[in-house]
Amino acid sequence: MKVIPVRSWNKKGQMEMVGLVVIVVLLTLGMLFLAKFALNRSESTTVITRSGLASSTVTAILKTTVSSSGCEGLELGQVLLEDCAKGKIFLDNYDQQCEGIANTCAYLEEKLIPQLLEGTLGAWNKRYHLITNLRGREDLNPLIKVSSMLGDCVDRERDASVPHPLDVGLGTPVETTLFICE
Amino acid sequence: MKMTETIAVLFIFFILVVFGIVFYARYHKISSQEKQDQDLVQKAIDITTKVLVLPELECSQGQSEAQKYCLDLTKLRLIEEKGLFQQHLEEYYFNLFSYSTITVYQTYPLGDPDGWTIYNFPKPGGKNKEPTFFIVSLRDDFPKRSYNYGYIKVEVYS
Repeated sequence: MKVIPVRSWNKKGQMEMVGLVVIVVLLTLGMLFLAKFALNRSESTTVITRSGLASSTVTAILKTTVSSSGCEGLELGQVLLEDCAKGKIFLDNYDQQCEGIANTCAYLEEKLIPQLLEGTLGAWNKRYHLITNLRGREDLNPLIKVSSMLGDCVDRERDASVPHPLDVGLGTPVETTLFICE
Repeated sequence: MKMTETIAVLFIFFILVVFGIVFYARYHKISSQEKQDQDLVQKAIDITTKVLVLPELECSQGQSEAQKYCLDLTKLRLIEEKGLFQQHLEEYYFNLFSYSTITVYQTYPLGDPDGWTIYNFPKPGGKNKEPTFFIVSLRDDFPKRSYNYGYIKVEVYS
């Protein structure tokens, strides 16, 4: 059997190659490490802003005094939401008629709340959706659902306002929640 | 031959080092820019929070606690008209609001498109400006108490 001798320069070349590979691997690891930190941005500020914004928006909406014809001076949260909830319970029998619309829920859902939200959140290119539910009455829910022109936040990472329960004299509160996402 | 190999290895090594330095410099530049932007946003949030609880602006109701997320339009109009924040800028308000512009807009019922600018002190030579928005109720007591819908725009400079 013939033995092939391993040349010393060949061995040295292999050693250098191994050294080079080690350097490349270390640099690659370093770059991956940096890239990870570069991409992993802290979003705490955005979250604080969004949840705070959602809460202040719902508070402001519910407190708003309506100036539309037929229901001037009425409070959106207390009077119109109550009328919407009662109307839904009592088979579309509503007391208020704003801008000639006999269905208060439809007026809130299609006109007033979109007008308020699109003039602010919509103008700032924020995606959102607002839901108003009557607690314990899943058959009637949602009483109102308004989404932004860009779409809703159902399948997105989002921040929500704390639910704003409102006693409208029906024995069960009406809860409004606003979700905001990017 | 050995010399050439060593030079080649060193050459590749230094290319990789230079590549790493360039990469790190770019990363550092971007991250410091992001940090600066975040600091600006945080500063704007802090100023907005201060505006919301400022006795000169909030919706007070006698001895009770002031209403949340609500500004009093009567106070707001007076402050803008008399320029009260600008008058007492150095002694008090600059410490609160620093280099910023604070404007309140009413969107329902539709108000003045220019809004009420209650504080305006841009940074001389400031390059960046970060606007932050926050929705509030605007209480109007004349002719009859009503709550309008609007927002505060806080612009901070750096």
